[in-house]
Amino acid sequence: MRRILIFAAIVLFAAPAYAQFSIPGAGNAVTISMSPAYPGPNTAVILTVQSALYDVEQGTVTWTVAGKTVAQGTGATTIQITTGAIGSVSQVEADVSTDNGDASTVVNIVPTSIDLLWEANSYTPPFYRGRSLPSAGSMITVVAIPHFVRPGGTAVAADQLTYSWKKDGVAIASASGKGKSSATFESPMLYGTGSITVTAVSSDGALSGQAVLRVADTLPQLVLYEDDPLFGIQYHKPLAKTTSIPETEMSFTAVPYFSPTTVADPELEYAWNVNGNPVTINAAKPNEITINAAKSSGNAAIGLELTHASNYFLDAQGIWSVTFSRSAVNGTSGGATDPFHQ
Amino acid sequence: MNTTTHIIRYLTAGILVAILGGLLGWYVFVHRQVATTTATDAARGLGTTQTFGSSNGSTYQNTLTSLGNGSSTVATGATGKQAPRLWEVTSSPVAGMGFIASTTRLDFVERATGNILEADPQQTKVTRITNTLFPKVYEAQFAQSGQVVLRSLSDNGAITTFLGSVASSSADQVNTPVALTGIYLPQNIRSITVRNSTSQLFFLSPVSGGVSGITTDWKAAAQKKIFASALTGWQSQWLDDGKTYITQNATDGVNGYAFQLGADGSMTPILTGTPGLSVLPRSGSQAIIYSASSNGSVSLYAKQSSGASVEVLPISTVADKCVWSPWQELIAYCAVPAAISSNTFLRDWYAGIVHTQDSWWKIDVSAGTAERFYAVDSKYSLDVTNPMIDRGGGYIAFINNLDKSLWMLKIDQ
Repeated sequence: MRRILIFAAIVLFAAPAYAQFSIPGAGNAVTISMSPAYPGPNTAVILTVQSALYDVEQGTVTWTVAGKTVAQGTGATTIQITTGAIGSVSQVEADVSTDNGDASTVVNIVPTSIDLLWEANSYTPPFYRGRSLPSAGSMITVVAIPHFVRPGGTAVAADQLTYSWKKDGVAIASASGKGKSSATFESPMLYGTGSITVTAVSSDGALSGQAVLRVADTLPQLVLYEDDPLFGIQYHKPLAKTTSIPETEMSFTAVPYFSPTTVADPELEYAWNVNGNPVTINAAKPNEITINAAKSSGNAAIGLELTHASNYFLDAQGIWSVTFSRSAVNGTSGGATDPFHQ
Repeated sequence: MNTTTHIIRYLTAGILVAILGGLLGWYVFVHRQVATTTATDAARGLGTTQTFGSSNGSTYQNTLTSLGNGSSTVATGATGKQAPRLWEVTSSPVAGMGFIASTTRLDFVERATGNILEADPQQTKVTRITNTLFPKVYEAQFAQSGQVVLRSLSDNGAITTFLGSVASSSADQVNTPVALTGIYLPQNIRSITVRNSTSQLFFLSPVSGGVSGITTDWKAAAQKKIFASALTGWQSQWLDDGKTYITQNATDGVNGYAFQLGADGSMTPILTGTPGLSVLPRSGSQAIIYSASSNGSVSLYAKQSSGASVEVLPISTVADKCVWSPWQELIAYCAVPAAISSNTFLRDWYAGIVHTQDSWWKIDVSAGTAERFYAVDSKYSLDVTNPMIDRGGGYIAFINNLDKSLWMLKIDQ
């Protein structure tokens, strides 16, 4: 019995000594984690030393940045540093000394950045200078422009990086791969918001970066413009909700800003009405209507509802009250019930 | 015999009566036809006062109209004398304009006809240069040598781009409108910009999977691709010093990016991650003015050089309403809205849904200061777009986005 206890005591108390001197790789059994995981330039980074083998909280941790000790103490497991410019190197070393042994690790932080540029393929009219915004049913194209520079100043070309794309946290394998710096995704659902994440890594793994994009759904907006026979569509002057026009006849063009399809999509359905009466329009140009008030007077309430045969999320509406003042001047009776006609 | 003679006489008389009757009937018929034709022609406008495009030009008539408005600051001059400080060159919609070479003469394109006219503020005079019809021109850009880009829409809604040159006139055709000749570029060009110093153009043309940025001369020859992108919405600027910039189409609250393009297609970031970004780079230096728009707040910034810190300028406007002075000093002139009336200002302003009421400010970027140098009379509402300045730095021309009328402002009184 005594021999057994002595043997057990030797085994139990000898174990730490065995770990300290004999476990292969124990000296490297600590790691440093970073937050954020992909630091950009001039960014505050929190570094934490961890180990599955040693109790670093009870050990003495010495932090060295670029050869200078910046922190030291028992349980000093975390420090914060600020990265330099893109392409600069911040060499950080953590030395851990515990009763069970010593270990150390070094990380080289090379800040990178990725710009994410995007646009939707939703409809905007010719000559519109604004961004096409995502609406339900449209697609978003995202382009990653990485800024990866190796220590020494050599830039890594965008097509030399490997990209991993995720949409709403789900990896998109078909969009990912070497040189795939752009990708196209479905826009968020109606009233929804979506996230797109891209991670880029250099071929040797020395440089990496990540960027996240959040985009929100935009409702299509119907805007009605006068289509003047001389000047064309008056894109600078949409029809107000209430308008007085000194003419007896005028043509209008409806522009569905941010519609997921173009105005010429045969599945787009334009339901026009004037004073509540449905009107038939030119099938070749369904987004245009001509109102003739020669035999009428008073207000013409022009209504339009835009829907799509297969995209049930698209439902844009507009109503404009137009007074063709010349019709009254011409003497047609006020309050006449003659329907406006095309 | 007598009977035969009588018969012949009666027949002759009858024939004469029939002939006279026929002639009378013919006269009445023809008279009625003439009356009908005259009425029809009148209905089509024959003989009536021309509503558009008189021999002098509609713009000339509009100019005369503006001359008579009696304002103390706007268009009080008369033809042959210097224009007033703020001159409404034409109330008729224009598509674009450009100062010619080193003069203060301003060429512009009538939106309805595509005709080029020339305004001379020294004489308060407008002259028609070309008479070739290009209906419904939406955009126009001039080279300082007088060449012009006309942008319109085809019947099927495609964007057309015409590169035009004014035909030279013979000695006996002086002051007579001449033809505009040229060629069309491929349809649906998204954006085009003119570089004056080399008589070249840069345009963004749609291709499968995005756009290509191509340089060309005015004969559409010597085309060279220098840019490609999976994104299609860009605005391009090609300065006289050769620097080429592309900026993403802007909208409020969404990050925009601007790059300088290298001849090898490289893209050097100039401004990144700026919501509602609109930029105005300066030729001959690295100075830049830019604006940001988000949640109804519009801010204007400046950088004196690429490495300089950002200056927040004390006015609220978009870079689209600014123009650099050609002088050495870092001076810019900006039209500043009295108010920003929409939380999605850029989006609505580009769509024409909102308009502004602007006054003119002088910006000293070096000092970071701004002062108003011209307050527009309250009876006029000017929503300035597409401002440009002559090479002497004396005049600013701009389009009023309310009605596409053309204006010139003399900077110094």
